[in-house]
Amino acid sequence: MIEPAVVSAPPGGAGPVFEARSLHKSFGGVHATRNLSLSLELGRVHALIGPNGAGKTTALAQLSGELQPDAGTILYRGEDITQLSMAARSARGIARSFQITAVFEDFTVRDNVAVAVQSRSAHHFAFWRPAAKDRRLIEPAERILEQVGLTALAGQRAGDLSHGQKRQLEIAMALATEPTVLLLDEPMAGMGRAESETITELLEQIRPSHAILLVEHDMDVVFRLADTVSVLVGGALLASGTPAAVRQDAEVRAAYLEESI
Amino acid sequence: MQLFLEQVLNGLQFGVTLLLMASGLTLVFGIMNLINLAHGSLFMVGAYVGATAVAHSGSFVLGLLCGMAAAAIAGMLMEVAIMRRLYQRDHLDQVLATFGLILFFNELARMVWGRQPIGMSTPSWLSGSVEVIPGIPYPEFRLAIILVGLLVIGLLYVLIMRTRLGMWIRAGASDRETIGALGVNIRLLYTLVFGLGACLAGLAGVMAAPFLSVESGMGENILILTFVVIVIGGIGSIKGAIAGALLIGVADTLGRVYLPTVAGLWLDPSAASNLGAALASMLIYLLMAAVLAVRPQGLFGRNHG
Amino acid sequence: MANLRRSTLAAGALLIVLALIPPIAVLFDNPFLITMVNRALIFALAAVALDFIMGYGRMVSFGHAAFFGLGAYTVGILSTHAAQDLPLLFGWAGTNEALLSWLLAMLVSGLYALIVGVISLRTSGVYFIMITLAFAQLVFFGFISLSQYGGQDGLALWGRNTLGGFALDDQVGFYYLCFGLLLAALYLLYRIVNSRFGRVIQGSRQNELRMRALGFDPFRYRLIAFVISGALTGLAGALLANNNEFVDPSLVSWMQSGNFLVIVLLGGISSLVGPIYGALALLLMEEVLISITEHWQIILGPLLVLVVLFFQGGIYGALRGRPS
Repeated sequence: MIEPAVVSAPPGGAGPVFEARSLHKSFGGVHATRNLSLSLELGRVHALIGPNGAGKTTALAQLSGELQPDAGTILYRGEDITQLSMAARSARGIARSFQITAVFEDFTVRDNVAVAVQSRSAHHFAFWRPAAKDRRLIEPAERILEQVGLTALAGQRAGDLSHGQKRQLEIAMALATEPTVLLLDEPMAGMGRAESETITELLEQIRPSHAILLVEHDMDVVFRLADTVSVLVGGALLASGTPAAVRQDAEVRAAYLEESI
Repeated sequence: MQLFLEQVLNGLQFGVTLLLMASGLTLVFGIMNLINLAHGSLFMVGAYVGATAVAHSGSFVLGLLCGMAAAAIAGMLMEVAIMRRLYQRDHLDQVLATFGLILFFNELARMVWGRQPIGMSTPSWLSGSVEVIPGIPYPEFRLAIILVGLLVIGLLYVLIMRTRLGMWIRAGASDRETIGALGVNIRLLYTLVFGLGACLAGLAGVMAAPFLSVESGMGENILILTFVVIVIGGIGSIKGAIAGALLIGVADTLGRVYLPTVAGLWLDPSAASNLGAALASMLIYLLMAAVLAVRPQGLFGRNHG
Repeated sequence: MANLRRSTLAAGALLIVLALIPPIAVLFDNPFLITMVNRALIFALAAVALDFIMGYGRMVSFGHAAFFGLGAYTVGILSTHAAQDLPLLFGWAGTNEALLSWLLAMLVSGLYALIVGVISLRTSGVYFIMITLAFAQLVFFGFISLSQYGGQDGLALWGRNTLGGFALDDQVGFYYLCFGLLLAALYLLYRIVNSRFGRVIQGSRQNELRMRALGFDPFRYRLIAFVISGALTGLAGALLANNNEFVDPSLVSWMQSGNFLVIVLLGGISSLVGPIYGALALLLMEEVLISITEHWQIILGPLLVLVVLFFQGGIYGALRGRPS
């Protein structure tokens, strides 16, 4: 078992709000996740980087509840949520964006976010009132669309959006669920420069009130936003620490950074 | 006791029929992702053609071959004309289109062979009994059916697992583009696979014909039971299909034999036989409901949604 | 947009024509027309209930005939006991009052939908199709086994129900009642589809993973929708029992389930009003084909195949124009 080299720890916050301890996951003979531990703190961005196939998405799937780890614990605000489903975690304030865009293609952009807003209210089994006219859904949705920069496209069918715009929509939906923790799987992938900028600024804005896990390939974004960087190789943590420290670490350079720069 | 063991063997025989059907259906579903309701119609074609061939020639073997050939040909024609256009469509469309085919085949059967069920006599050279278990004679013909069925399943297994054709078939199930790039003629492969599935259904039909009434609509009864086998066993699982087929085969046979007797304990004979028969039919579905309530993915299924 | 208006106008025209069938029948001195279209309306109700879950929720049920038959038989059994004054349960001898027996019909089929749904809605796709079919078979053989209610031969009713004391024997009155119920069901389902509840159903169809990630558990919603669909189909069954004054197990056959699917397909899936076109189209096709040959199914079968292969949107889709 390789101990991850904690190259240098960032200054402590108020204690982790979201914590994963010793997660293990195998598929058949393949160890997709090995003894993975990481933590997220309010007001901090934790970036997870690593080469393709390192198991980043699998790790994220376990954190969000899409997959059950074979061993290990996941804690949220001190509560053990390892056995909880994705829906239950979302209800508690853990939001996720997906690597392969997952939006409601036939709904308008506005309605996509409206459904996300709806998830926070108690009135789901309302059978009568048209949701399209429900101000309690529309108004928050439009506010978030503005935050994310999609107001102009609010009435468009989500399936007709460009790839980058769909990713923006995903983030909007994640935000609409009023989460504390954001698990973002390559949110910038496929975005143009301008869109990427908008999202990066958005993340900077919301950082103080959220704990963010960012899986990313774009090193510029990572080194700009992240307070902590963890490097995942072959399902295990190779190193974890401040961006500067990780960048200098020899092992990390050998395994990963050299290739991607 | 003797009756019971005999009936268990009969159940085994029925199970083999179901397994042949389930294999054909799963083969097509697994490789072409096509759900074919007309699989039962191919069963019926095999039964009708086989029975007719036997009636005209007196040879059971000829009947067997004719039935299988007719089903295979019908299947391949179906594939070229219609199934090809359905591979890319979603399952609902496939269900509806093949439902239309069922109507067609059932009416065709009525037109060609009339509404009266036809029968098929068992071959005289297999009319004796064999003592499978000492002291318990069992009809040779039924035993032959069980053995032939198991043999065919065995051959199928060898074909899929040990031959080059089988390799292409398995590869085609997981990655169509790659094997196309390797130069394998996908269209031909699919037609052959479909023909193989149809052949299995036709075989099952001929072998079941002496024990059922060969009539329009016979295919659907067996098709629905085949569905139950697959659902109970778990889609995609060979072990499951075998377990399911045996379970359903034995349960159905024993149910039909013993439930009327049980019902007769407190009902008069005709009402008992009526109720018993209906209960026997219901038993299978109750069994399915029970299995699914406990294991939604079937006995050996992977966690499908 | 023009296409949407065209299809809406067509639907409006259709409903007006349907409302005028009785006077038209009188005009052409063809009272049989009313009975025929009435039958189509009843099937349309069942098909609309099916389209609700099929089109919007992608729950393809190949067993809806079970709810249809349960509704019909509930009415039939209650009516038979009432007519003969035979005690049914705890001394109660059934009823011939529609308000009670139709409600019970909906309860019975809704309850069965609940049972079927709880077990089968954990699955989807092909699995779901097969399981719903099997559950319908269970009911089918169940009814065949009820020899005291006719078994395979079926049960003739002593007459139609009464509605609040009024007899329903007048075909014109009954026609408008069925038509009214169909319209009410359409409106109800339309509201549901566009409500918050409907959003979850539709969203789950489009992307279930995303729905879960937002915190919804689609199962509960689908189950409720399935039960609503089952209950409405049961109501259609109750109406059919009255229309034909006869119930038999063929109402629960897999063929009947297939018919409902065909009606939804012909009319246009996910359109709610589509199944009305579908029911009328199927009725028309059957009448026309039967007059040509007694072997009409040999034409209907391939016709269905052609419709599936080449007319994907159904009649409603054709009116609306191909979606972009």
